[in-house]
Amino acid sequence: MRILILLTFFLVFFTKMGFTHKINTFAYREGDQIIGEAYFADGSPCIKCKVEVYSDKGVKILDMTTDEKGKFSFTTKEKGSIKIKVIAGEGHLAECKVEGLKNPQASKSLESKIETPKTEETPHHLKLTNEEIKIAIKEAVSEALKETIKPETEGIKNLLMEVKKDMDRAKLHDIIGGIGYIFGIWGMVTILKFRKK
Amino acid sequence: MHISEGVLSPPVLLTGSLLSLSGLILGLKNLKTKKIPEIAVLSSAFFVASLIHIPIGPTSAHLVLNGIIGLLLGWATFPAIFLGLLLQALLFQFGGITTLGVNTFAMAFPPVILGYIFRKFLQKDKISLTFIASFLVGFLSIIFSAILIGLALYFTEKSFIPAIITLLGAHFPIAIIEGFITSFIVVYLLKVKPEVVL
Repeated sequence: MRILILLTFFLVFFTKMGFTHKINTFAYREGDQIIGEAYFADGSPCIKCKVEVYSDKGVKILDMTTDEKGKFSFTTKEKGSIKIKVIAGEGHLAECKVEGLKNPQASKSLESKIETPKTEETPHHLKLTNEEIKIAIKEAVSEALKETIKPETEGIKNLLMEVKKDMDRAKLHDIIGGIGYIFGIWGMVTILKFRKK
Repeated sequence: MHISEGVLSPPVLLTGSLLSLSGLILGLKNLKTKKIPEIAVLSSAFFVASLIHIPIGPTSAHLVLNGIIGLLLGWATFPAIFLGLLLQALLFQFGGITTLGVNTFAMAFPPVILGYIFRKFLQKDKISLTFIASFLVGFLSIIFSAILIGLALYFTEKSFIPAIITLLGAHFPIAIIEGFITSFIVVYLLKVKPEVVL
């Protein structure tokens, strides 16, 4: 009993310093750009950690490190899903997967966009076909839409990041539950021991 | 001092698991019913201690408390630490199920051996000798555990020297703190409840 009191004292004293260095990572895709963040279980950033990016087939695409805020971003031509590994040394590692692009149309419309300026140069090509007008309008609308909803999606993304971080944090009720499990299991061992006698 | 899932190669994982398994069997075979409450308390202390980290310079380290557990429990350290690590892996994904063997062995084996070496120096009428001996158990347990973790990483990554330097550097201050905590607990126990220690 006295050991317990003594240990609780030590533990309460150190609890203020937060929780341990299990590392987590979280990333999302924005077109060709991948934006992500790596952080420890207490929510503090993983500074200058090694980041390795693998393609769907397990081929390493690139190597990089996180910045002072634990964030990293890169652009990639890879359309499939991507696996990101964050290595914090001493055997600490975190993995996360970014889904591939679902609509390959996005890249198609990009190509048509490049072609349109060319057609405008020559006057007799000014008559755009119905099809081309449709594409142009679609482009403009989607561009404007992206612009307007950007601040809102940004907020939602930040919120998601916070929620994810909070989920990864060690919780007091988990700790207390764990202690309960330990006592319970040893209690069962005791019962088994007495049964044998 | 937890190795995450997917870092080590299968042979290293297998070796660690087998070594831990033999430790577990030894620990459970010599288990005394009277000791079980003590094991449960120390097991949960270990479980909680690893969740709490202390920032040291650029990195941070956490208390392990394996020295005091080894000194008080002997071979029962293996089941105590194994249970703590298992629950950490299940509840918080610290370490991992596959690396459980390696982590258990690295943290439980050094204190068991050190406990056997230093236990005879713990005497009720020689407080300073007891203090030094238990400090050494707490201190060396962390150092040897860090070396074992470094070895496990070495057999996978083949970069022993840098890994061991960062590991020892990060754990040196913790080792000193652990040494003092072990000493204070042992000296205190010796005064109020000597049958637990001796």
